Amino acid sequence: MSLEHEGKPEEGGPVDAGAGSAPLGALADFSSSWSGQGVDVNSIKAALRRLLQELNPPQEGQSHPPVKASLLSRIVVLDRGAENARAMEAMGELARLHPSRTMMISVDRDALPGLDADATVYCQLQTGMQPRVCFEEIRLTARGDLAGQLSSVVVPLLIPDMPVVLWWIGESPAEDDELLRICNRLTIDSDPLGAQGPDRVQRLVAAMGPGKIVTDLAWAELSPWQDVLAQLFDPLETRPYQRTLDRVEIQYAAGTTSSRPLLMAGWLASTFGWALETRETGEQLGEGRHYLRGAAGQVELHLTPRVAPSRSAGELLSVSLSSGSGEGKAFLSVTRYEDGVCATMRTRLPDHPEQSRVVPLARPSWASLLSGELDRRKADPAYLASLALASKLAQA
Amino acid sequence: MQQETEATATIPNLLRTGMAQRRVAPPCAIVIFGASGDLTARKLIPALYNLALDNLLPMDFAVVGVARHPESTEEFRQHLRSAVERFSRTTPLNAPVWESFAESISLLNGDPNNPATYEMLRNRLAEIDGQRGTGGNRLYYLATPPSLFPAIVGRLGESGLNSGGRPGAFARIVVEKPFGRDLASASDLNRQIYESFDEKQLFRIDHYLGKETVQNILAFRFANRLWEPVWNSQHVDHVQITVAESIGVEGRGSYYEESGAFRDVIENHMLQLLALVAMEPPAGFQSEGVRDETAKVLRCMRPLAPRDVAEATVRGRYEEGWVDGRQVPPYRAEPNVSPESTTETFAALRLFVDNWRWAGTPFYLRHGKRMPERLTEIAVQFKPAPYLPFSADNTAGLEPNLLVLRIQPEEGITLRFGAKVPGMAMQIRTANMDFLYGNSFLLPSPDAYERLLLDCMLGDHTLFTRADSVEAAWQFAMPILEGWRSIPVLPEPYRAGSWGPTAADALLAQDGRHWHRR
Repeated sequence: MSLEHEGKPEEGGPVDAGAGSAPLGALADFSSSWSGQGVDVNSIKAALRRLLQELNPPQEGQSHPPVKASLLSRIVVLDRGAENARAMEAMGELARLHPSRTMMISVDRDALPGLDADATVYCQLQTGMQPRVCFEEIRLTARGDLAGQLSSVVVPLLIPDMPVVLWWIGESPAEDDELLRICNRLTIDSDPLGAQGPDRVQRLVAAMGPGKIVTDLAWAELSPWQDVLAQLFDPLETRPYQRTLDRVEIQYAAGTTSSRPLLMAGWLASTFGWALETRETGEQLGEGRHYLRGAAGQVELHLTPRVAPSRSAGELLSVSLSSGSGEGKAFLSVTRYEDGVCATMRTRLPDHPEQSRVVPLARPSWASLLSGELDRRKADPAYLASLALASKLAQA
Repeated sequence: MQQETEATATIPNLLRTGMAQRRVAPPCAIVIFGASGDLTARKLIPALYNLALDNLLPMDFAVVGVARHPESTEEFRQHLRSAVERFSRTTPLNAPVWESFAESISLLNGDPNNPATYEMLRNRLAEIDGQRGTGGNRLYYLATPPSLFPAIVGRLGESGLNSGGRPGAFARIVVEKPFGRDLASASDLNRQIYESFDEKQLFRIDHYLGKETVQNILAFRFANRLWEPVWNSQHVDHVQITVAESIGVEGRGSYYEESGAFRDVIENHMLQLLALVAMEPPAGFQSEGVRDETAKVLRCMRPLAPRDVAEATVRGRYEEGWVDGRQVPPYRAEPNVSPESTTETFAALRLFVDNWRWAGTPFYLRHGKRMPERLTEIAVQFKPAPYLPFSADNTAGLEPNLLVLRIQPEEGITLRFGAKVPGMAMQIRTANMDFLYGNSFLLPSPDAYERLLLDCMLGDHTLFTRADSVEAAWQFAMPILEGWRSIPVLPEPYRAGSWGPTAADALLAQDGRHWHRR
């Protein structure tokens, strides 16, 4: 079988075959890379084809075409911040779970216009030396004016007919950013945006329109908490107390304001159908007491920062809900251990012995959050409802 | 007999609205008979612990072990802790979660034959309902030798423990295979169980048939439009199902001598696999939908006449050889195996499913120990193209389409088809495409027991064998076992590390076919 070359001869050439130095390479068995400066899309595509065939040479007497598995195209917009390293790690893990063509884009507006690219194909051998699953990574640097026209290089590089996931690291994109139009799903992290996060994201969601999904890593991180809190109310005897809750306290690690406690509060309030009435600010940054109105009466919502040196700022420490007082008081809580790995679920109901149980509640890695989110086919209404309320809670 | 009803929640859990569908098990007390045995330590408790780690156990939960061994609850918990440290698929042990889970475990010292044990059990369960809120739901797991089943089931019935601890609560009973060793004993066992429990309360575990397997076959067949139109005798030349193990009997010699390869794997697991491959599309995936269709297939299997048994079945027994780089002894030299044993460690057969879809298409099944590698796969060999408009030279060596569903060790499919060789001539050659699919590229999958225990708690029967299927499978098996005994058909030796005796190859060669090789 002869190898075909298409398009312009590439500038630059094959870099090396063997374990790549790029982050995805750490987990693959073989890789081969190519690098070029001032290139165009056709030469990038030709390079990818060539690399794939290099890593899968035809065997004597047997036709075994290389299998390139792709579940999606991923576009990652990098910024210069520290979050890049964390994102790289997540992508390394994700690559094996969700093979894809991933493009990582950095922008350099001050340089002369042009496109530089590093393309790598990784092949993961399965056991028994049999099939290889191959996936691709392209690192692009868009220079000069091209920085404002990213879709012109990104669109031809997308895998046809597969979903496009856009992961914006760092500050959130502008609402009119062209990349938002071409993606099916936007992944951001509202956490660094602090108290303004929920409002910002709400506006992005509105700008993107229906049919597009927004994944917020800060929200996704809350889902183990949500699961455990829901479990607190699985026993039938706890259900009536959902309607009579009058006090909720969310404790979180002090430091900067984070969107996470706000999103948790927004989730509880929207799920239980509470509307915001008034607010008092506390003395500490981020401390607040809100008064909401539920079907059965007033609900006090406390957002309490607490010093927790071993946890990162904004991380949830405990959520407790209670109803009534004195003998008739019902109290349910989830409190995380100092080491952040487990949590204690506690239920104290009138006329019942106290129940408690230890459950795992570690902070999930970005890779597992992203991997889980990919299985969601529709926008999450709970997120949108919680976003709306969180936004109000932040502004009140 | 008690009617079983599910506890219904009248007040919904608001926090679960909008959440991704998650099956939450209701509160439950699991009673394990034979708690000091191997199964509890190696499989059941590690499975429950891993369910706790994944937050799948209900908040209100308890385990009561029933054992003859005098041991305190504390000693029992300690010994289970070491077992979990050794056998759990996740390591290291998460101490806080283990401690919390272990608090729900207690031991009851008692003889399962003694009615007094059941009085004690009833009191213990009532206490647990009060302290741990298990709501009267009971799951009895019989991890004892099958000889004790009738006694335990009978006593549970006599003491009223065969229904839930309060109105609306469930009582379920889980039994492991083997479900009898022939049609008569299987029917007897069913009859004895029915004296105290009804079919809806009964869960017959076949752990080999993990949920991934079943779901993968069903997903492949029924989520894609491509396959159904050709999934019949018009287009399929034959189907081969192989369940190969590289291990030997591994110290279970005394059990295996009574059972043999056919009873151990073919009569139950492989006939279920066959049913999944041959079944009609189910109307839905609620438990009875699938089980109805698999039962229909089993009833359509053409019973073998005595003369067919010699021609259409093969028995083998492994001799010494090399497997996976190690030299291994012959079957007859294994501990607890008679040196004159006539038990088969390999069996193969050809069978027909007499219905519109499959008339005339043979199904070949083979299973054995000490095969070159461990694998489970289903190979569907299609008929050749009706007419090849190419010159004979250009298609020399072209094989008909083959679709292989790989179940173990890795899930995937292989599709073989003809493709043009690049070049000036119109040369066609066979190409192989292997796909390993799913998110589980390199993820550890949950142990089969985790899923099965959760399904028992949820009351989902999909993975469990139903009475009519058990009976139909035995109906089919009896003439074969009878024939082997009376003709007799003795096992032909085969070298360990090979794919079985030569008779197995002859079985297909006589029909002009050959076993698919990897």
